[in-house]
Amino acid sequence: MRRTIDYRKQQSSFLRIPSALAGLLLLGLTAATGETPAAGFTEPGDSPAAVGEGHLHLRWSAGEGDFPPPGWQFRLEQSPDPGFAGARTLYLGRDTGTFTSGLPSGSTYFRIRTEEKEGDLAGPWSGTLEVQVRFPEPWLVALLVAAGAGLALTLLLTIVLGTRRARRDDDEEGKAKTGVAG
Amino acid sequence: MTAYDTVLNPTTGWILLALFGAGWIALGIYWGRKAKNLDGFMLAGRNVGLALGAATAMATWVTSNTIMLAPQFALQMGVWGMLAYSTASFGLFLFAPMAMRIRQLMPRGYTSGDFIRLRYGRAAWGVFLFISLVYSMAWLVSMAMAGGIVLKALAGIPYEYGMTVILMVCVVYTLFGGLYAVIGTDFIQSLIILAGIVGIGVVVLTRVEFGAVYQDLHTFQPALLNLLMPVALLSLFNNMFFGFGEVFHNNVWWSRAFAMRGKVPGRAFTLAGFLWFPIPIAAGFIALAAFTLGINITDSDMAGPTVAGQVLGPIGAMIVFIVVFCSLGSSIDSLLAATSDLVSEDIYKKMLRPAASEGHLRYINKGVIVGLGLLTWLICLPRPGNLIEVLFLSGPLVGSAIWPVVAGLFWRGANRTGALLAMILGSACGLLAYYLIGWFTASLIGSGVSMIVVFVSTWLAPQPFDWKTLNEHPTQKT
Repeated sequence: MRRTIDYRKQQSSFLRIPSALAGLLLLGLTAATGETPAAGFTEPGDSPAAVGEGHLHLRWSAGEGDFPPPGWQFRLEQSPDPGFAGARTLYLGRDTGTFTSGLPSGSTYFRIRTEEKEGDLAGPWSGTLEVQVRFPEPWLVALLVAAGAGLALTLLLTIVLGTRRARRDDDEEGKAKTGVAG
Repeated sequence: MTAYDTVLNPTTGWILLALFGAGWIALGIYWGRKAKNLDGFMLAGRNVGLALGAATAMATWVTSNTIMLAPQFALQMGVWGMLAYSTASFGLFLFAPMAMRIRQLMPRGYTSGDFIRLRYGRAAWGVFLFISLVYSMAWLVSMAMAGGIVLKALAGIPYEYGMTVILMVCVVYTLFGGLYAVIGTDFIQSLIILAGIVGIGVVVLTRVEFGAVYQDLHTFQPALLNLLMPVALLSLFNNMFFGFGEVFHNNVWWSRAFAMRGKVPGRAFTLAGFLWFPIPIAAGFIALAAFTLGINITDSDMAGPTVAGQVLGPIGAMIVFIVVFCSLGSSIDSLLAATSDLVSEDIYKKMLRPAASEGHLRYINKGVIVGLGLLTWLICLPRPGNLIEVLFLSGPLVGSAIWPVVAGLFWRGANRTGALLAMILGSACGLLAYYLIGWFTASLIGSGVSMIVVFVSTWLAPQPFDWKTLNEHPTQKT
């Protein structure tokens, strides 16, 4: 079970009883109505979302209250396939957002749902969020990297050679002064 | 965003804030008694030794950005991201020989503005002052804001209160002690920062193995290990030139070069570079370990404090709190002191009142410190969202100042008009690149264009310069 934060451990005892009561009430309500809390993405707003650098913040909520009822959590899945073949769980827990990075060039797909922490009930999957990563063109990268290396080398040489020349000039000036004095 | 509360309770946060705040102010007042004249107040008597010199350079360069942004770089761009942030230390390495040259050419100098005015004339001086003041204010504001945000995130202290206290503490001890207080507190702050970051890094290492972190990254985020990741490769050079620009032009570093005695500047800046280099790597590793530790990062700019707080619990949060407070203090005080020097010396004395007495200038300098603090506070109070972007936008501006400074220090024939055009065209092209290509190219392109203009103008029309002109007497009229 990866990237799970135990919400209950983080809460003070002051908050535990009301939360547990609220959870029981909500679970009772859920069982009575037969409904499960649905989750959806709130950020990025559009799909497909264009990302130029391979990383982004994802935000989601479980309706009005943002957080799912006690005893429930979010499951966020990521896949290179729109049908979510070979999907992996990116996050499992109660937070309403995550930061993901290292996305490859091209499209990556995300979906989210709520599910019981200890049980089989699960909400419906959200709509699929497509994130398109487009890195700068390789020729531009190669050109700028070469320029950066060249600039850095030129700067280094200018400072090193300038320092050596300044020392040499000082030495010559010193010798000239000594000669005049002598 | 997260389903849990702050790791540190507000009472503990306030106690730490009060203890350290009172400590810095007391030390500032104590050290301030040494400042008997203007040289003492502005440049610590021009007699700073190696230990204090290296510590102040290192501590000033560890800003809130190092604590917050270095882990963010690692999270966003992996291995290259960590190294990209570390390249900021190259600015300190290369500034070492430049500082020696500055000390030699301008034994009675006060500011970087003095150098540009004497070397290239008033037009280039005006552009340079604009660049320097925009950058300094952006840096100052971004740090004061970061202070408020971090204190709120770690201890639940309201943003307005945290930001105000940090800023007020720095203003008060800089006001009383000048550069003596800044350098003295920097020394203690540098020790705390080093011990804190190394301590957190060691604890994180005991909780997670290098191999496991590598394996997780390899499996789930392979692009973070890709040595050909395009944005990361570009950010490496861009960050390097941003760092060069920041260090080479800003009076924070020039005032330290003027303040150190004899041959100290060369050794002090080199040592500071070595001490600083591993800090972003340690901070970056902490962030990369988050995935393996099962910690969800909801805000990338809070990765470092989030991981430290969750791995070490309240003790870790206290360490992060203290380290952040020290890193903010060591940079805000330096900026207040150096920028007030620039305003009082370059603008007030050189432009408005050339005949101002030493006592009067010291009075003005203190007024500028208070004014800068107040202005920063007013800008930070509504918590504007785009000021970090303003700091990044200043990247091409400071990048364009690299070559005029370097050529001016080492080339006798550097062209005056060329230096002016280099700053204007470099800034313009860099800003265009920022919007048309991306932030990761702006400083690189700004400094590249600036270099071409300086090279071509000096080659086509060299203007021989008498180095002795730089050794201006403080009472000399401009």
